[in-house]
Amino acid sequence: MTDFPMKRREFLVGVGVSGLGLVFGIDLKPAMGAATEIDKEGTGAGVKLPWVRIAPDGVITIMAPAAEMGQGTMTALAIVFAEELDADWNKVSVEFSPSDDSIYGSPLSFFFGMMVTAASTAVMAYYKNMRLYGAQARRVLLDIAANHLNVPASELTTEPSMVIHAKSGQRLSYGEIAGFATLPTTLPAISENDLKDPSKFRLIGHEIPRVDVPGKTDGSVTYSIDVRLPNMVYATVVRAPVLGATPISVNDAEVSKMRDVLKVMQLPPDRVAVAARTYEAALAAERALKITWSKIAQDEFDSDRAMEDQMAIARDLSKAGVQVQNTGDVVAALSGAAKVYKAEYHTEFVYHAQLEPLNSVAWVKDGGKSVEVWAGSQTPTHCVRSVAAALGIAPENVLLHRTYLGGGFGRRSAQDHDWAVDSALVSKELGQPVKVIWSRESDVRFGRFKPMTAQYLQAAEDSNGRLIAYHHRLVADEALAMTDPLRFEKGKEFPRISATGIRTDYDFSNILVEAVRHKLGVRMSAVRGVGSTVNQFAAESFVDEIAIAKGIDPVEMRLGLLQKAPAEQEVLRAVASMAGWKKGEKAGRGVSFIANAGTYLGTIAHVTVDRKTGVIRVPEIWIAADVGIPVSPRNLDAQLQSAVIHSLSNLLKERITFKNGAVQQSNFYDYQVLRMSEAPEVHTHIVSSTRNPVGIGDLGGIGVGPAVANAFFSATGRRLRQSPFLPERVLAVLKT
Amino acid sequence: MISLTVNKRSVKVDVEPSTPLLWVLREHLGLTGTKYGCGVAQCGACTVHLDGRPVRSCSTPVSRAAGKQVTTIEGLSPDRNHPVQRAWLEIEVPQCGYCQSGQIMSAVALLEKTPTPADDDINRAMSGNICRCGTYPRIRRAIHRAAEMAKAVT
Repeated sequence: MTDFPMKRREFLVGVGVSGLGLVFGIDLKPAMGAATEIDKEGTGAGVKLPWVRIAPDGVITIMAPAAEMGQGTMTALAIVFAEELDADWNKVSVEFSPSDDSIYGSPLSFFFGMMVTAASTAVMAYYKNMRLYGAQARRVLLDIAANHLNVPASELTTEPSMVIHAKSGQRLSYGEIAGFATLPTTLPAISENDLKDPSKFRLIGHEIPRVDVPGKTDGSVTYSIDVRLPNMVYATVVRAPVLGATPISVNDAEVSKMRDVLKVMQLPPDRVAVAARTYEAALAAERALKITWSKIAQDEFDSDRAMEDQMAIARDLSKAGVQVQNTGDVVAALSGAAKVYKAEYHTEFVYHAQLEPLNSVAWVKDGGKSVEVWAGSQTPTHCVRSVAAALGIAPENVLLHRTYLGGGFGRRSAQDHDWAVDSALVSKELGQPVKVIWSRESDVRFGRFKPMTAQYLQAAEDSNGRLIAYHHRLVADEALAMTDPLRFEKGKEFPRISATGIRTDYDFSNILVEAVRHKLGVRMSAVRGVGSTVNQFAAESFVDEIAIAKGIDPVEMRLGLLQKAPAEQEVLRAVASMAGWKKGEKAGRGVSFIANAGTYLGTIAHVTVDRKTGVIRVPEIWIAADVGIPVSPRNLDAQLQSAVIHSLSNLLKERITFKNGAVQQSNFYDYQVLRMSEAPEVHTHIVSSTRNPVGIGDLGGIGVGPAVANAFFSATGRRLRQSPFLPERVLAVLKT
Repeated sequence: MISLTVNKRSVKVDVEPSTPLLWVLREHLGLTGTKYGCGVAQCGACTVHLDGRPVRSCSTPVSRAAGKQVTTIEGLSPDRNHPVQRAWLEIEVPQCGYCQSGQIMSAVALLEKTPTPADDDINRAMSGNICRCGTYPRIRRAIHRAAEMAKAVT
């Protein structure tokens, strides 16, 4: 086979238009305005893959560097690009970019140049560059048009997808220009001064329908689980229930004889795969597998016991952690304080429960020398590298077809792509295309979880009742160590995921925030909201406890602590106003305020408690957010609702527990998530801002945990310190 | 061989009678709009209609569908023109989208039985369908909207 190198050919074949039109390969990264290479058809080596194509029929295809998993980034980033290109949005189509860090890597420093869609960062990360690339593409069109019309480029203006020479009344559509264009050898320099005045935006901040929605109302969009290839067979893969164990014996002779089963195989180090002609046969075979696993020390792991250990470490101030924030002298302030507040909280393991179980399709070709993979990945270049490493081939020989993700929430971001490598390995064994689908039970048992945490907080007050010190200790394992060892190492082992969102923006004079890593030996991952949800559950519950102890209204106290941060105060005031918050409120409502990586969130929850069953209901949540310039206001509203409900589901219902080293849950009957009848009404309000956009999809629900906990206190006078707020826990605190 | 009518087309499939209808639809017939989520009738992603009634195809043996009318998301309308689909587009319900075929099929069945559903009707009919993205408030709005649209048509 001579399918490779294929990236480029596939790209061109995939265009589906006759006459290539304009293809821009724009790379402004090395130095703004530096001359860069252009991708001309057939110019050969060294060319860059493009951000946009403009076809003679006027269709403008913009590349989506980020994954689309429901957060709407595919549309949002295209809007940003199209705004500066001055494209007619009706002519725009969006396509997943190839997997290439050198062009499409995230500009954020902590992703180290890799393509990563995670932690609410895509719009924030690419916003400026997408504007510059769009503006540069527009300038190229203007220059070509000027040359063609023999007029100075400075006399030209644009309307959507149209270049206009007002003096002569001549007009050229972008499609027409694409039809005759000869591209310059170097691209024009573009700087931020060339960008549109935001008051002139006609796409950014307007109601533009998401491009992926139509195909999601008729079942036609393709997730990797939907891919079907000629001669494709199916497989399931099981892993060691206890991380680190290996298979000692497998009843492969017996299982191999089952109907339609093709092969039972061990995939080192810890996997057993069953391939079959049909998926139902593969599933039946998976259920018939009897595997003896090696005995290892991790067999002893018990999450309840580990929680006690973590809490003991949290209380033990002699065990210093990595300092996340340190101003003044907390120890001195605490020891000289008139009054000290203390509180403990803990949170349990949480599962992603993305609705599309992990799966991938692979077709190993050319005697194992190359492979095509279909996967919905949050980190496509990691996927390519991992598949290449597993097959022992070069990354250039892996062609990844990026698909939509049926939910990501962090599960589809790990460096090793355990779920994508599966299909590549089985396809190599069988020499034909294979679809691997994890059963839901496998997806749970071999899931990777948001780590449990123990949190210990202290605050000090001087003799005037002024809060002068704040100390937050987090004890948790660090998910990044497993999920992305490369980034963990490059980031000098800073606990980036567990300590996310733990910083405080409140004006205490002395602050110490520290994170102690406690290794647990279980599978872990970034999960939506990462550390922020659990850290702020603790921090914002604690602030409320202090307010109540001091007899100050919780909104008032927070406003006082935010005196130096007017934009943040505005968000808190906005949510108080929309919810009709009253001083000294006793209506079962609670508030929280979050400032996280430039995103400000004010959240108020209304809670009712069934004192007989211990069931908490949350009929209404109000949320005000400042996320900078809102690129897609309607999607922002959707993301806020989504994040709030996801977070509430985590808070009220969800936990993974371990006994004898293994996960005890297996499907949605014992890992329950929030359903329609339990979903609150979510009122959202976007606080207007002229700052560049920051993130929301991952973050929007961070304030829910403390707002609900604080509302529960308001309703009952009792404090919930451990999430999830299961009915038995609620009943237990009501008895105290 | 088992004979089925799927989206008004007669088809024959060579599978065990106990094979879940889901896999017959998705992998044998290529109707991949119907999704696998849990395999145990807990999430609703696999919802299709059997003689107009919503069933979880992951837990429905294909033999039970023999001789009956199976309708999947692909058979709902040729052009996304069903009122429920139009409402879904207008309200922009889907996020990741994976559960939405099942949500739409459940909503269609609800509206056929209860053309003007109250919120409680919606809770009852839709609580078998999990949406991990939390689009519930929009689903609720879209069902009310679809009820209006359906009335405007008739």
